[in-house]
Order: sequence, then C-alpha cells, then structure tokens
Amino acid sequence: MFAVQKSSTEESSHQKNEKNSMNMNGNNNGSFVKVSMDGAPYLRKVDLKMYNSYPQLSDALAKMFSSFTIGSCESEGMKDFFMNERALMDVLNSSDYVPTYEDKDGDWMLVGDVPWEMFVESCKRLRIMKGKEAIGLAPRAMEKCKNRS
Amino acid sequence: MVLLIQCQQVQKAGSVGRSIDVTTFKNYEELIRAIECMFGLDGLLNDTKGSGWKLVYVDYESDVLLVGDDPWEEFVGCVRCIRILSPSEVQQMSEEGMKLLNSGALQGINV
Repeated sequence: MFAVQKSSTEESSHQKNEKNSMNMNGNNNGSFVKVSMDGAPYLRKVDLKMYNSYPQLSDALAKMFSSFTIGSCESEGMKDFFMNERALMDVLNSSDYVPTYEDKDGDWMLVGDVPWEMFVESCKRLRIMKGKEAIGLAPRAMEKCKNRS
Repeated sequence: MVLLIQCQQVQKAGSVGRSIDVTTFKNYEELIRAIECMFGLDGLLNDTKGSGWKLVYVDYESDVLLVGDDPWEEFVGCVRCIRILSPSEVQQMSEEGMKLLNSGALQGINV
C-alpha cells in the first residue's frame, strides 16, 4: 500500500540559503540545479554549493524526496549508494533509486564517479532514477566494482 | 518603446483561476500571502510542514517545480504559471507517478 510520508525537515532550498545569508542583490553565486525523481509529482531545486561532499548531498536529497517514497528504505538505499559503491548492485537489483546527472555536454552520468568539486562544476541537472531505469549504466559500474575487489 | 506586462495564472482545482504579476511582489512571503488570500487558504500554503498543501509552478522549460527553492529573482524570471495542489492531489499525483514507473511506462522518458 502506498503511503505519502511527511518529512518534518522538508524546507525549501531558498529558505536554507537565507539562513546562510545572501548578499544584497540576492545573488549568492549559487549553483542551483533542478532535481527530479522518477514518479514524483514535482521537481525541486538544490544549490550544489551548499554541500561539500556526496554524502551531504545525498542526505539532503533523501530528506527532500522522502515524502514520495514508500517508507524510508528507498532513501536509505540512495544514501548507501554514496557511502559504498558495492551497494550499487544491491540498489539496482532491488529497484531502489539511483542518482544521475546531466553534465555540461548533455550526457547523463552516474553520480559519484568524479571528485566532488568537478561534479559541482559540470552538473547541470539531477535526476533520481528508479533503479531499473538505470540498468544501462550498470555495465560500466560493474566493471569498476570488479576492478576494485 | 514597448511596455511588457507579464501575467501569470494561478490555478487551483475546483476554483476559478486568477491572474497575477509576480513582479509586483518583493519576495516569496508576499506572493504566498497574496495567493492564500485570493483562494481563502490563509496559513495553508506557507506552512508546508503541516498542511500538506503545495504551491508549484511551471517554468519556461515546462517543468513543474516546488515554489520557494530558487532565489526570488530567479523565480520571477522563469515562472510561467502557478498551481495550488491540495494534499489529496499531491498524494494522487504521487500514486499515479509510482504506478506509471512500476509499469515501465516511464522508460526512456528524459525528465
């Protein structure tokens, strides 16, 4: 049975920015990108410059979209993905969510491969794909996992 | 010299639509208060944590986004129309989205 859960920590990206102070003309040189999650009724926007690492970003995304997933296990799966690449196969197989992004060249890439700073520079848009949709990305990631272990 | 007057429609299911010009407001608080007043939803749209009501907008790329994430000036530049979603509408849209997803109907669609 599907349940929409209310996240008590849900707040807009803009409200968070206000708390961290913006300069007078309202331009804080932020790096706002759209974030979509497959199946969610609307998109969000995040300022990538508000975060210093992949785990911080994944935490924020999990909070943002927790109200659209069934229980917390799916957003936990996404957090695990950032922490541990070997969880990638589990995530894909259990059809949890996989974060992808559109880079400067218009290609859709798996989040987490490049150093954080490089990611912030090249990320134009985020899409949290349902695990099964991301199967096409698996071969490259599997190779990487194999090389690591 | 051409004067460009912009209007954005504000829609809510079951209500007559309204038109506003977002540039007449200074910030999100003013905009939301005005919309609440227009539709008799005082206190419901600003209290996103409790009420379940959501204010979303369609931008120039035809994406539907939650109002409030962008810096105000960015929002003013890209908003095309605004929609008020009731808690049940949000739930219904989420359920429909999940159903489509699980049926594989969203395959290949670039969001």
